[in-house]
Amino acid sequence: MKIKALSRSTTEYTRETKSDIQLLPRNIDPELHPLERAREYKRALNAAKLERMFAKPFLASLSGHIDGIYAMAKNPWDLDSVVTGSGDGELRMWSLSSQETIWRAPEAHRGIVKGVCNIPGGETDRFLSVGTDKLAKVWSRSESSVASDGVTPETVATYTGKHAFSGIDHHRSRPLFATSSSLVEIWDVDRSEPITNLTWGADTINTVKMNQTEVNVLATCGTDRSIILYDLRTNSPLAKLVMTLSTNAISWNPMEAFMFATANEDHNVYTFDMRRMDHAVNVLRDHVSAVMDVDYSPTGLELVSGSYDRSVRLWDVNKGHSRDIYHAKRMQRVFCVKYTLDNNYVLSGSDDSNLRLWRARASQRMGAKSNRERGAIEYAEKLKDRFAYVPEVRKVLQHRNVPKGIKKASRTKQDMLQSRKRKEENERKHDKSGKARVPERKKAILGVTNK
Amino acid sequence: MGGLRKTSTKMTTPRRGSSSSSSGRGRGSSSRGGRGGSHNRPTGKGEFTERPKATPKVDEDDNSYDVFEAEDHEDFGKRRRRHVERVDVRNYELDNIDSEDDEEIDSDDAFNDSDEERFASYKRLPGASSTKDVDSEDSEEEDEDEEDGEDLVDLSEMLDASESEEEAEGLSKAATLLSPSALGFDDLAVDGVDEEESDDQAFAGMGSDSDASVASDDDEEEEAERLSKLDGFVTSISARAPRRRFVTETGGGYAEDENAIGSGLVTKGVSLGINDLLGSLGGHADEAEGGEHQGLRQIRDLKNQVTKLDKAAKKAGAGVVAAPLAKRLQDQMDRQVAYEKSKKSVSEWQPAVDSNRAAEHLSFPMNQPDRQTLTTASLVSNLGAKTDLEAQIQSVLQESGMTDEQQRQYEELELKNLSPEEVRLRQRELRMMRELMFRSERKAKRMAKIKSKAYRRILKKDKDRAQEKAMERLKEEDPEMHAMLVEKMARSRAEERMSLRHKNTSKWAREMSKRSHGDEDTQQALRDQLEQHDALKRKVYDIGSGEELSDYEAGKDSDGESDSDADMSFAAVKSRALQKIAAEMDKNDAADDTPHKTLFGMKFMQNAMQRKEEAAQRDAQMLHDEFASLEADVDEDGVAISLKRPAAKKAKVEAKAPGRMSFGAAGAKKQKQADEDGDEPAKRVRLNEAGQVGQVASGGGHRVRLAEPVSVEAAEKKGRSGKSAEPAALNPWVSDDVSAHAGQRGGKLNELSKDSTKLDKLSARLRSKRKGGAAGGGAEESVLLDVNKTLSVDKPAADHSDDEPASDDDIRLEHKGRSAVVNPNAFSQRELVEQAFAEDNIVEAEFAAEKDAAMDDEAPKDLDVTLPGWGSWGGTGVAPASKRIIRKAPEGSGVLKQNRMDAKMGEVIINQKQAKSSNKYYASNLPFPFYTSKQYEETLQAPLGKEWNTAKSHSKGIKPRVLVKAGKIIDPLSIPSKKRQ
Repeated sequence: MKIKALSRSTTEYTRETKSDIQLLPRNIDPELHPLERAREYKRALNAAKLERMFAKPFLASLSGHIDGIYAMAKNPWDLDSVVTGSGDGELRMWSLSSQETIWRAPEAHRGIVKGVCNIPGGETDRFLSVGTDKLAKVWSRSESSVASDGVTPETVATYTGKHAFSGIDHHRSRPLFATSSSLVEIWDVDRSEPITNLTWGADTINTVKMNQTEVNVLATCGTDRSIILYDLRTNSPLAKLVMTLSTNAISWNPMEAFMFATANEDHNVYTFDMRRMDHAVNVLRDHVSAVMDVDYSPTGLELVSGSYDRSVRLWDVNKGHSRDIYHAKRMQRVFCVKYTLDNNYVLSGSDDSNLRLWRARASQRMGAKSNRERGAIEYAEKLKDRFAYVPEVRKVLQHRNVPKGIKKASRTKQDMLQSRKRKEENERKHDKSGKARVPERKKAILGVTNK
Repeated sequence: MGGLRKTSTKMTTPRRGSSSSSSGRGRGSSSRGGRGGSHNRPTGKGEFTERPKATPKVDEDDNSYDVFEAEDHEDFGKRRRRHVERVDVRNYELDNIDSEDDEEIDSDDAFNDSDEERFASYKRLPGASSTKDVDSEDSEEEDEDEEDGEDLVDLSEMLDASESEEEAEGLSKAATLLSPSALGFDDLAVDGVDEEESDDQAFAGMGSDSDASVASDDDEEEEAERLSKLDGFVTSISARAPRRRFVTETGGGYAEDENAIGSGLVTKGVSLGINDLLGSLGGHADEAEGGEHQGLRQIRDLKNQVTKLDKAAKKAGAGVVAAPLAKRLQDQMDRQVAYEKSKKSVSEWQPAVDSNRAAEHLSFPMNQPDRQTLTTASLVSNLGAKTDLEAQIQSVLQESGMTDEQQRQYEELELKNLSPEEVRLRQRELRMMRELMFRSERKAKRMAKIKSKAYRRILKKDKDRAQEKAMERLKEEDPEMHAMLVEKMARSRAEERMSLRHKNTSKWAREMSKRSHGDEDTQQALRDQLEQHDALKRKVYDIGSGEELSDYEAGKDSDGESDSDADMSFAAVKSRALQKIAAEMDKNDAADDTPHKTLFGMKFMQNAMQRKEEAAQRDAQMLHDEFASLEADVDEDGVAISLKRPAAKKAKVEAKAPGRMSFGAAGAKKQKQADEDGDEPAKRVRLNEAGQVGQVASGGGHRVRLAEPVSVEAAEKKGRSGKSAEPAALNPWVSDDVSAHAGQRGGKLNELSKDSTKLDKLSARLRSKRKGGAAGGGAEESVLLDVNKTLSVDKPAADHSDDEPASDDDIRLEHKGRSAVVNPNAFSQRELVEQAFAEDNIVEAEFAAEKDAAMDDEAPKDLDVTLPGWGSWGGTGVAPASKRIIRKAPEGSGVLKQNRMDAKMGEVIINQKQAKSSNKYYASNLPFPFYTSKQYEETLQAPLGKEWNTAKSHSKGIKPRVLVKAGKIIDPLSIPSKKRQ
């Protein structure tokens, strides 16, 4: 006779560690667990409240600069180090883990440091800086030795330009870098003169950003309210996008080669598809003053922006409003922001000469978690997402304590926008010619041209 | 400009056609490549190709030409225009140019004053040119010029007609011309003022040569035809020369005027390859009949050289560069083209981006290389000295010849020294040794593993015996000690049994078991405790003294006797029970005689004891009597099958409440009492299955509670059946009930027998159960079972084994005599019915009122907010203001009566009040990605929690969309096609 024995695998009832509690077999008979919707709603509400309770985004303020921080670069090959340049021409390299300056060049430039960027390849720690003194300098923490503290270390190399530089960015893979002044110059690191000049019009260019995926494409934004795309393969500009107000910064999406975000003077962040620039893909509106800098998260799904309204905002690229606002009592106008490459932190450099380190998700805590804890967090996240539209939960999730100035300004701005909209609607209503509504995504765009 | 350039290519073709075969007008659609080949080949299509290569007679040719022209000229003109239009359209499709762009360059720009000057002579009507064309054959120069002019007239017309379109076309054309590869060397476009000088140089020389050749071969028609093209060109050059000079003189040169976009127009019409020039010469040379002279040979050489150069140039991909456009325009076009290319290039990312966007889960960093899994093979292959120490050891081993390889070699060498027999012997020896070792090892293992029951038993017995011996020795040597030990054992056992400390569930044990992992001492302690537990749980005779043992054994014997004697006769049992009871009674009597001294000696105590004893005596007597009167159905072996009690003893059951049927209270009590009283006999007397009867009687087995002690009869009395005496005056509300129809039911039940169907049996069981329930629960019934009547439960003798439900099948309920008697206090049927349907009409009216009230309640209500004395004058003689202030109900509040859902429904009230408290569970408006509320609701439908899902689906449900590995740099996306940029 064959005996069929009951069998249980030991994994079902043994614990992973001694401290773990005993596994309990669960009965998922629905009769035993009534009111699932109401219970999950309650859980979602609790999760939302807990999220807000644990939301402590500010981590550290790294001080050392004497003037405001106007340039910042994250190292694409190192999570720890960040380089900042300040208004008095000082360069500092920071270690984020130890939260201190690990290298500095007090008089790196005469005048403002307008841009810094790292030189590719994890082997060297070289980076470039440009200033209004028409110089582009190569530095290295390991190579350019510091004589004594407070003395500017020697540069590895120096390039002399014809105009005051306003921005710099390095090619992702080749030894090329681009600087912006009144024109875009492409430099070979081995040559003292630029190998190409890319010009279009005569206006000053604010910044230059190279695409990190489609590596030969770069974009600049200028004082003539234009955003210009260039291609290194054809050595020519591609197209010029003119907006109603000028753009302060550009960031390329690291996961979507053709997408870029722009920080505009009109308080908005716009995302564009470089192939169809006659309309923005998304308009992100929450700031109440000019947006000074914008940066994509390395996942390409989020954005961080710093604004003249003294706040940093975090955005979901597909949503119209920010998911969080970071501010600090002593934080002044934010001039540069960066999303760290592990997707967990945000950096902001502001007028008050401090570099601030924030959590990218305010209530998230780092560190290893047990499976159960992780499961609970994930469950809570899902519940929050699920019930995010229910009034009570939404209210909890959306509530932020915002500085008075910003709150007031946003209210005023809202009124203004509403009245403007009302006026437009009225005009449209009483206009016989049947004017069509201009979509918000096109309102700020004057046109795209190749002339 | 570009637009004109495009049309100019159209212009060249007819002209070429006319020069090659002096009669045809090729279609502009002939391919460029075709033109590059030998001159003789017809290059056109359609009617042009059908024509002979070289017509022998000029006249015929002329005629045909004239006819063709006459017939087709108008058509051709139209056709060409159509063609141009078509081309325009196509170009538009290729590059869309914004209207703004078009606006920028207006026709004035494109066709400026200088151009107008230049083309002034061309501005003729097409009609006029056609009339000239008819007789144009005579003067070749003119003809060429005119043709040119004609085409240009067309062009200007076209320009006038659709300027903007041409601009666009021009742009696109220029754009296509930008790439050098688009320009064939053989095309050698001689179409720009820019190339003036070079053209002049080239064609000046050529022109003189060709002039000579024309002069020499004047008579030959064919050659004339062939040369006509060249001649035409030369003359055209000469015709244009003054104008060009004029242009240069006026300083309209390219370099000076960046915007002189029309400057390239002048010679646009002439797009002539060098092969065309040389080809005609060469061809002429070949076909010249015997007339080969120096010049021709030179020309042929030149031609060969040129073709060589041509080929080389083609191979290298180089061509003659088109005239550079104005820088601004050039840049513009460059950007346009470059933008298109960049768009195309960047669009290669689209699939990857799309898949990421659509992905259910994203895990960052992406494109991570697979982690290498370590295999033994890979480890072995990489095995070697890694550290310095290892390397040192390795080298030492190597030097001393101790590596495995060296050892093996050495052994092999050694073996070679021995004879084969010796080797075999040694090998056998080795094998033997190995075998032995293996066996002994296996045996040891087996021995270590044996732990059979017998082994354990023997071990245990040994141990016990040793202990016993020790105890005995102790008893002899030190009885006190022994007694103490025994007492201690007994005490500890008692304590253990009382406290249950031996259980493994005590706090100490739990604590220890937690700590026991890996701790030998603790484990030992736990084991000891368990052993102690076992030992203490062992029956007392195992450890008790000999006396106890004997006692127990006696009991056991008696027990065993009773057990074994399964078929002990009923009489014997009975007599023994009686004996015991008698003994008990005697004991009680005897106990009376014992003298009391202390407390018990006092009077009241003695009285109490007396009373107690008397009660006990009474009970015992009763029990005795009962037992004495107990009869049993005895089977042939003398074993009782069922007990029978005389019906004399009957308890009275009083009707406690009207409308209730009461069962079994007294009977149960009685039974209980009997159980208590006759505890010993009831236990002692084991009457095989007879015990079951008792159970039946106590109501446990069959859920039939009886109002009186029942007589339980053997199954022989099948025929008896109680007749229902009261069919009339039945209560229709209790007609289903068992008791009312007990007689009938009994009758029905009586019909059940061994051969009744299973269904019947089942239904009978169901009924009996229901009845049991009703009786136990005390249903509202006005009927009582007659106390005097008995309900007998019959069982077939064969089915007495135990109380399994199957035995219910054969229960037979019988009423003896009248089954029910109407209680005088119970409700009558009429009363019941009346009560049930009383005030039906009142209910309807009540409902209507209720509905009205509900409607009013939910209707929008105006609010009277008048405050007396406010807003009016007061004082004596002033009438109070009659104006009332009513605040209208806010819109959307409440439901109007006529709008109610239940407005037209008679018997329904639908509550349309909104439950405000539940509002918070609903989204106020539809969230963005959803189109219908149903879609949104669906997302909330299935719960996510652990309570409602299996572990797997739960973890699947809560998995976040984006997973990021902590502390890892997330590099930008990379795709294979973009690896090398």
